[in-house]
Amino acid sequence: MMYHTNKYVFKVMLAVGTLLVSTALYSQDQDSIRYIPLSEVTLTAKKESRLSLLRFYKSGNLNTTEEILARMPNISLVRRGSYGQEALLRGMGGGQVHVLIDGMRVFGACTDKMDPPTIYIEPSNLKSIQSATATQDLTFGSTIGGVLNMKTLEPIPGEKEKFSGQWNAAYQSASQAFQTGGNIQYSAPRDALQFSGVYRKHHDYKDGNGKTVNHTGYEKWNASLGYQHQSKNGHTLQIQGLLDEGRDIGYAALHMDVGYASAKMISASYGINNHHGIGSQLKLKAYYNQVNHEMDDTKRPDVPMHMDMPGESRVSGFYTEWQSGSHTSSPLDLRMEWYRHNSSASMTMYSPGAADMYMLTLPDNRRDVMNLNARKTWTMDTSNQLIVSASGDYSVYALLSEMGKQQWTVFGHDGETQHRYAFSFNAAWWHHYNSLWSTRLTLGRGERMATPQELYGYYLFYIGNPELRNESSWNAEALVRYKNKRLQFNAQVFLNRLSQYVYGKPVADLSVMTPGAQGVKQWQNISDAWMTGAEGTVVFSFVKNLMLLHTSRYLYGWRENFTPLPQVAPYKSFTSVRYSRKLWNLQLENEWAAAQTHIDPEMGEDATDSFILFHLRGQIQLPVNRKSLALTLAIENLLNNYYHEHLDWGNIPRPGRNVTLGVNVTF
Amino acid sequence: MKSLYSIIAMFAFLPLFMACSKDDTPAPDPLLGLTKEGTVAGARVEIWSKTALFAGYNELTVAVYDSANPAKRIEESHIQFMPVMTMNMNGMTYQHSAPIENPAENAVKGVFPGAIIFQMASMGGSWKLKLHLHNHLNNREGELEWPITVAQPEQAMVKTLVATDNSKLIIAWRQKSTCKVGINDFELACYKMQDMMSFPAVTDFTCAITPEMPSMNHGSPNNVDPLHNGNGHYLGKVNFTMTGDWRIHIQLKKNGTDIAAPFYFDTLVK
Repeated sequence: MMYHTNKYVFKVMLAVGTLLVSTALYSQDQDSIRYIPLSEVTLTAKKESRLSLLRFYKSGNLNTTEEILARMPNISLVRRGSYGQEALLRGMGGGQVHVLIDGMRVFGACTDKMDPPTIYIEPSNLKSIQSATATQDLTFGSTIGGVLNMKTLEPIPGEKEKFSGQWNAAYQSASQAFQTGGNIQYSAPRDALQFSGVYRKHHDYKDGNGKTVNHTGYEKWNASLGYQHQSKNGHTLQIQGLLDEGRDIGYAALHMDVGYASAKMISASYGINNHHGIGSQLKLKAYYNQVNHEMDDTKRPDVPMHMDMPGESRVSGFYTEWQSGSHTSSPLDLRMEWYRHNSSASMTMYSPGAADMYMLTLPDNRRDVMNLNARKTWTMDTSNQLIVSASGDYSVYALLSEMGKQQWTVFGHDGETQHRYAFSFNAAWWHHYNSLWSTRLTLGRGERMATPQELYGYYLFYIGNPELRNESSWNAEALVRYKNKRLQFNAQVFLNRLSQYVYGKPVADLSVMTPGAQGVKQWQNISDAWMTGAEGTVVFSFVKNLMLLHTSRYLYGWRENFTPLPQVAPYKSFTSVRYSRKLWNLQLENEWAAAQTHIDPEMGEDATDSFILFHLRGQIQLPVNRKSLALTLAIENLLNNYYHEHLDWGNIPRPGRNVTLGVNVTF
Repeated sequence: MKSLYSIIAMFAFLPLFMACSKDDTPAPDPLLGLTKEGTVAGARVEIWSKTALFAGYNELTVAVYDSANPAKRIEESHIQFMPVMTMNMNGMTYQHSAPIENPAENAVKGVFPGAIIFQMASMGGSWKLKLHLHNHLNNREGELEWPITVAQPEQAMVKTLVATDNSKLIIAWRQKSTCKVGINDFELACYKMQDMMSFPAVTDFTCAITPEMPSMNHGSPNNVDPLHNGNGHYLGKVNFTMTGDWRIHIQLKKNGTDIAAPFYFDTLVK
């Protein structure tokens, strides 16, 4: 009665909205309560429901990927510059979370995490963002923090319209920014081609006191091209390429900016749908990507010493996925993956009158990773479903550079090749009490291997630890969901115990190697750490045209002696009220963050004040010749508050009142 | 392609590696850097030095051949170095010698390795090198003498200190190979100036080292203070975390108390 498993695969593909809000988005689809391992925010939809929450995430037509991530209920962002923020999933990031683009591994090239891979993808070529916390989704290998997978737009053959697409442009007042972008698709019966591009130019923005915050501007462009061929018997071939380039990205909290950040990605995949007529699917994909990153201090007035800091990351990978499909009530999914990650970073310092100083901040190294994982779903009866998944991972780390090995002799390491293993499993039990109430209980054990930075990083704030052990976790989560035609809500509470918690411990007797650094930290496995928290979402339609949405999240983390964990965002809520008519809509938003005093001073954290923001957004649709022209107006930080968030580095103030004017053409 | 490049690069740089490669026991034929030669006591004497003579710890190799039979190498003889510096100051002439390490009586792999620690370059006066040979083959003795030029290296490799007891100390950094990033052997040779002509080795010091990058004001971790290892030589380890100009601060101690003011050696790490 409540769900039909034979729709399972397609529902996953179609799922719109996060796990929390997915039912809200398809409120008319009473049959769609089922386990979706990933929370998913769909960003591009042909037909948007007027009450769609899509615009809640994609609040403007030219949002950055980060702006969308910031609104996802389980994500908080570490802000080092006005661009290039790192997503934390329930307080976990870095090597604790798999960040992927279309299932491909992409790693930032900066040793100091200035370029999380999310900056190399743009909403204009994004179809959806999937997130899964803890061990809920082991599809991409062992993890303790979860998965963030950004799915790009696919060209779709056989569409009604031969040419379709959209174009938009916007101006933002706070940073006098201009941005434009769009995508266009050509769709033939069996073939389709798609191109998307975006360009953004932001100047330094003004904060809530009307003062210009220096070194916050940036410029970037992104372009992608995709081709898909579909054969009559359900075979598909897809080739995609993406280029992204950012220049002069300001990092106000640092002594230097990013001069250049670029990514190149190419992939080819082959898929067989409905294999043997039993609904099974097979997909093979091979890919390569390269990221280059360079810091730049030439635009700063008082540079104690000029430095060059280039970094590079290259990944080649291959994976194959098999899903047993709809012929069975207990489907099985299998995935096997191999990838090779080469990374390196160096630093050259130029001291007048002295020899140039050169150091490998991340000695050239290679990591080969293999993982194999499986997920099995058992549908016991109409009200009970059990999903069990497991992943086994194997990794080989090798230092390639002779100088890198020599550097490590300072710490008594010979840079020998390392072999590491990790294993994770997860079990989730759905129970549907009646047509309104459901619960899900999850228990998982996760493990993750160290990143090359954590093993081999050399000075530059952090020093690696070749003897770092795997970080592991036990996590439990309970979810309650209620849904009727007017009101839906989700609430989840979780508890996560991390063992061999990896912590950047300040080492007092190590001296800093870079001007401006305050100290050197070394990655160490310290005692256990605990994280607990809750998230909730409420969607309520008062009357036909008025909808309220509220999300709340709270996270609390501690280690031994109840010392607070670092990088824990305070309680935060978004509340949004939307009134929509056929051709226009208006949305008032409230964003509230509590103060954070639960801080880790050893990590250099300080307390952060609470703030309340209001945003106003509106859109008018002008149907022109069966195409659509939309004008959008957004006023963010309506009251021009002066504030910063807890995870913002250097307490750099956020933008003040920001008026965005946009135009959007859909054809 | 990549491997092709690296092979080409390897061949291109091969001569470099060969030139730099460290060989602790120099082969006499061909020897690098024939510095001086002469005939005395029925023997032809050759002095070899890999580097031109400089103010600092100079490793010298003496090869001795039978002058009657030039192909025959004499492997047992008594060799004594006697470097002499002559200086003119205010119309007075002074002479002094330098710390030496005479070769052992028996040749090592056919040659006689020894060392002279020139505490100063030829700038202030003129160096002469005398060599006394006792040829054990024919039991004849004799002395050779050469004028020599001792260059001042770019970075000082020897320091003269005044100890707390007013004695003069000569401390040389015996650098066996160019400093590189990572862990490096660090060897000091310490001598006391007993009089103008004798410089016995000091064997009862301890020594604390602190590397520093003067332009950065930072150091490096996990250095190993040199410990006495015989004949006034002190062996330790020094770490460099990056290329560039480094300074190694040294504090000499005797029985736990400072014996002289701290001093340093500068070096370029490549």
